[in-house]
Amino acid sequence: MNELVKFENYSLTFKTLYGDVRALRNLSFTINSGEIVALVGETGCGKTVTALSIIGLLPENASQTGKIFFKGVEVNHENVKRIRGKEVAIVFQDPTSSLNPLYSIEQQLVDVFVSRWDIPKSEAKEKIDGLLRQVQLFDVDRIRRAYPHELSGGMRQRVMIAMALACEPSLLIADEPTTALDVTVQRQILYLIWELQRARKFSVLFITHDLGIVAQLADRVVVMYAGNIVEMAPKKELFSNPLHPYTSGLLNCALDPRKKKLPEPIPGSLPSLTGLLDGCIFRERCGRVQNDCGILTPELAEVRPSHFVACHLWREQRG
Amino acid sequence: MVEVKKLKKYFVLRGKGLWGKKYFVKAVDDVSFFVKEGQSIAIVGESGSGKSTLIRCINGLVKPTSGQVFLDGESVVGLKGNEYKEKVAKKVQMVFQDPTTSLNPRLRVFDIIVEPVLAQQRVPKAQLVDLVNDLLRKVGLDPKLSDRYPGELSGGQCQRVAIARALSVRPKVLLLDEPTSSLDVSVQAQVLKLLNELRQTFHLTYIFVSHDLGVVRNVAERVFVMYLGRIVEIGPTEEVIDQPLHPYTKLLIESIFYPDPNVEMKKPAIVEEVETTMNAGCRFKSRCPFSTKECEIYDMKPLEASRDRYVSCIKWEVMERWSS
Repeated sequence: MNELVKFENYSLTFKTLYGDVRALRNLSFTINSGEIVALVGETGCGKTVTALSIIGLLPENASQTGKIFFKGVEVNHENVKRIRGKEVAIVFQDPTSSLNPLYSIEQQLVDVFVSRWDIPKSEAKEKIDGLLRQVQLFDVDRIRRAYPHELSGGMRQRVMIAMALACEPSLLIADEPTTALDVTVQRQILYLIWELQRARKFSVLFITHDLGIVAQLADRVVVMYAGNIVEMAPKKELFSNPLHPYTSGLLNCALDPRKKKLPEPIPGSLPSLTGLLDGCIFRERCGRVQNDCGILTPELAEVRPSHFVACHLWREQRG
Repeated sequence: MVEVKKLKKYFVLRGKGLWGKKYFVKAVDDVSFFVKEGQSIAIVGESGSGKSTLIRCINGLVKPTSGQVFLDGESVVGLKGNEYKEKVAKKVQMVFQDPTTSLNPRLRVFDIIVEPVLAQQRVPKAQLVDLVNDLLRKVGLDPKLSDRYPGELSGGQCQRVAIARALSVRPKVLLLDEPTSSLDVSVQAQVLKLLNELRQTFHLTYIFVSHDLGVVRNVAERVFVMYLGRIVEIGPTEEVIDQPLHPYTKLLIESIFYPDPNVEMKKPAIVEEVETTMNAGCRFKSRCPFSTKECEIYDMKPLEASRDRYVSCIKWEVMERWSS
């Protein structure tokens, strides 16, 4: 499998009035072509900025160190425009606010075709029908003319997916695409993404906090906590054998409707990202703290085949 | 404790223009149920199914079009002033979905928590301080937080303050409108644990609104499934989730993503978009794979399926035989 996106010691800091917010610290991971990688973590752990870093959509007060490679080439200010909206497409959380309310669906889809493929508008219009059918919007004539507010949430999100597909991307970023939708619609949308991915073999970076979705959709899981990657493993390995105390905490919080089991909460709350902390970022909430945890920052290391964890508990087993 | 009889809430909408034709949205349509003291029930359904409107009718935030709500055997619909305070506000309190918008950003935590108490009666300051400190400790917060503003607190802390505010008048019933859906999973677990503990200590009756069946399984003894203003299924939580009878409940349960990597991704049943114009007959018929002519005249009267289980579907027996 070849690497599509590669993060190498990537750190991101936001300069604010209250000091530097270290949003991402020393991220190193890859997205291979043709796989679904789920980025899991709680609010504020840096999932979304990680995704936005790939396509250079960061605010101006961001300063970055380290490197991101796309298809082996380092991403920088000049070449990011050749990636964004072309090689990489993104579907945002809230379809209502990410579609333009003043333009019809047809106009918005035509724009995507024209800017991506540089084809005349008439040609773009011909392609729309097929595209809408692919995302299972069969009432094509109505939807072409419709404005976003005339469609339901599920239909809008399908239109967003259609826009992403129009780019024929090699990486689709899905940033919590179903949190604003009902459960029955959620399953349809996620199945659609999954089916399209299987058919077209593009990669997906799926951002979510819902472990239920991860369990069914992902191939590989990256768990983030407060700007750090704490664990990374293939899906089944992660669920059956979580190594980092935060990952096992998260799994214990996940509710399974099939059985009555009160969740075991993780005590405490997220640490502030402004201070420069030495040592493990999770130590204040961890039930298995050792002496080293306050001094040494654990590094992400492979302790089992393709199972990486950043925790001192597993240091001896490192190869 | 709480009884709802033939409750209806229709919202009037107008068609295009000032003289446009009036039409109704039947947010809650002919709903009856009761909740015993100390019970915890959950109302589940999609957005727009009327679950929030239903619980808002119970504490008088929404005035029902017709029907009755009884608290402790007394009818409370349309009460005002002191009578409302005495018969409703003292007994029923509510916790809203989004803690950051349901707390007044210009009041300190202390003032937020004592507001419902002061609305009822005058209380000396020293007594209020004791009350707030005690409540904050009970919801797992540091009493020092009482002079903070909501903006300085995290989402989980805000929701705890909202719970403390609801408990300040010692109500018997808590209405919880998706109290954890805007929280992170680890914080959600903390709040759910807290709610379970508080129910024991204060002997509370809970009426939950949720769309997350995982949450429901852990907090509720009985479940009401709502679809477009109607209750379509009632029963003990375990039975409803493990053996759903109504086709809509089945659809909901098939849509769950279990946190289990061994469950394979399966194709969802193709369902039409929800119809908003209401015709006669079963509300679910346009999305139901089993619907026939009979469903068009069925008035959705609940049928007793077994002890303590009701389902609003004339086909449920046929479907059960067919699937077994």
